[in-house]
Amino acid sequence: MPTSCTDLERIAILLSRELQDNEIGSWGVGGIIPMAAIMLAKKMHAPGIIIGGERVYNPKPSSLAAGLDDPVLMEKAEAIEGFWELFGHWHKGVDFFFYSGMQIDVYGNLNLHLIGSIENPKLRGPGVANISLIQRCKKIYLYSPDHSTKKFVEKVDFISAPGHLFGPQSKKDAAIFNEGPVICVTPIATFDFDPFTLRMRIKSIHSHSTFEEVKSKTGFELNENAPTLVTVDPTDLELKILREQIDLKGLLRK
Amino acid sequence: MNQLDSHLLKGKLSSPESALLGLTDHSLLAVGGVLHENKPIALERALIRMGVKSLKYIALSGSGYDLDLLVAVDQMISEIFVPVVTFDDIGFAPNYRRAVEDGRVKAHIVDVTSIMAGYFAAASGVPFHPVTAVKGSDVTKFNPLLGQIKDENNQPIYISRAIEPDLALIHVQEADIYGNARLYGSTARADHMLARAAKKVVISCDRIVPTEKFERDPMATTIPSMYVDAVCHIPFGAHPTGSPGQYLPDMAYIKEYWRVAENARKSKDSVAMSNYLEEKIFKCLTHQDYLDKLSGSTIVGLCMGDQ
Repeated sequence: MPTSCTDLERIAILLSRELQDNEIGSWGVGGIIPMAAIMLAKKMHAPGIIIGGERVYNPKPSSLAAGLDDPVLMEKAEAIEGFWELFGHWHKGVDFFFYSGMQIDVYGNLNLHLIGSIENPKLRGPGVANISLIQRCKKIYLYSPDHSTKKFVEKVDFISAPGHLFGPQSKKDAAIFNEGPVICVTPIATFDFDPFTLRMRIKSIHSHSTFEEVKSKTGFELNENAPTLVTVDPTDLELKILREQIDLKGLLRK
Repeated sequence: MNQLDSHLLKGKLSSPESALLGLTDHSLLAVGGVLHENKPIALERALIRMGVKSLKYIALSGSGYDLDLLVAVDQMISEIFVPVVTFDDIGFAPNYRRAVEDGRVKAHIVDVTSIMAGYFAAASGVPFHPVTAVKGSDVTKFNPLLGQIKDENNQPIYISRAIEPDLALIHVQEADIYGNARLYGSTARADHMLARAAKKVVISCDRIVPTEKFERDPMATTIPSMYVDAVCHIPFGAHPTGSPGQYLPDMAYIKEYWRVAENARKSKDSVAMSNYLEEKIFKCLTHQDYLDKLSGSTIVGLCMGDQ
């Protein structure tokens, strides 16, 4: 039985396993979880990952950064790129990038702008700076620190960042040709996307949860008859490295 | 000393009040920095005290404390062109949210490529710059900065029109009295672009250094003086945001502001927010007054890098 871990630690660990060696990618504002995932992957199986595509290039921070403007990111890095270089990354893309959202729909479209309508918003969210990397990077890793029917919906109120839009044809019509979202990790399950419909489906359910729980907390339809796997729990080694070498301040344990 | 000599000695050094004089209501105000780094807060406080109204605010990528503060001031901001407004891991921006949800402020939906491309076009003296990685998003449907033209194969292509702000406020670490500036931080080159795009540029600097410092290492100059109209020497002028290499963002101060603003939003009671503005902004007629309200140990902690 592995040591107990928090939801955020679990998500970071599961994301880290998806990352591949020698790929180039980064994360955006507020990305404690993806940052932890990359640092862990570099220590576990992918030492050649290059953190690039955002402003800070190959940072070697002494601890996790609370946000993208946390000075800890700048204390040791190989370069700082400017927005004009980023303009190039936005258009050319890098290998991978992470996104999350206030709402995530069945096609992996993300809403960070508003709940309700644009004329009459019930909630105005932060927005998202970058709508380009999601359509230009090879692979997009989605994650959500919570799992509810409010978060996982059939259709987002507003498409801030386009995932698979409304399926293969609509993506083609919009001239979006990257693979796009490949996975979405939540506290109770990992989703991937049906290659034919590009709709989200259960890849595996975390060991402490059940299909019934995932179904009751998800706002789109899930196939009850599909075989589902149990997610491999975070291992003691993954947790030990995460806690002792990466998340020294315990930001993922708050 | 003749008149010319005295001009050369003074250069473009100016008080915030006289540097900002002449900014009219409804102007397009551009602000440098990002989120809680290198925001020209002391200049923005001076703008608040001026009582200028209905400004349009534009910033490249993310704004947090500074924009939320301006929005808290009655009728100061009428339109916003900022991709992300957030306090990052602290939460959503309370006054911004409230003003947009109540319909008092028009927050345009824009993304970062369109602003970068618009600044570049204005800086370069061309009418627009193409952007292509904006497909499939509802942002593009509503983004007023974008237009469409046909390329040589008659295919539609998005363009961002040149953005020429009436006034740009930029915080830097070091400047000479003529406006040569060194900016440390991740927005250095973006703010250089902004300085070239704007009609008028006012910078605040933590330190004034002699021109010889720039001459010794010209590659390290971020903004040459020809793009700068006024230099305001304001040590700690980015507080409570950070000034890389000089002081950290004062997260305790920003969190306290956020708590007051978030409580005001939830309770729909603006008294505490008004009191906060009165105390922290309006009662501080000068930057010195503002600094006097910060404790010495706070300033030392931020400057010495303790967290």
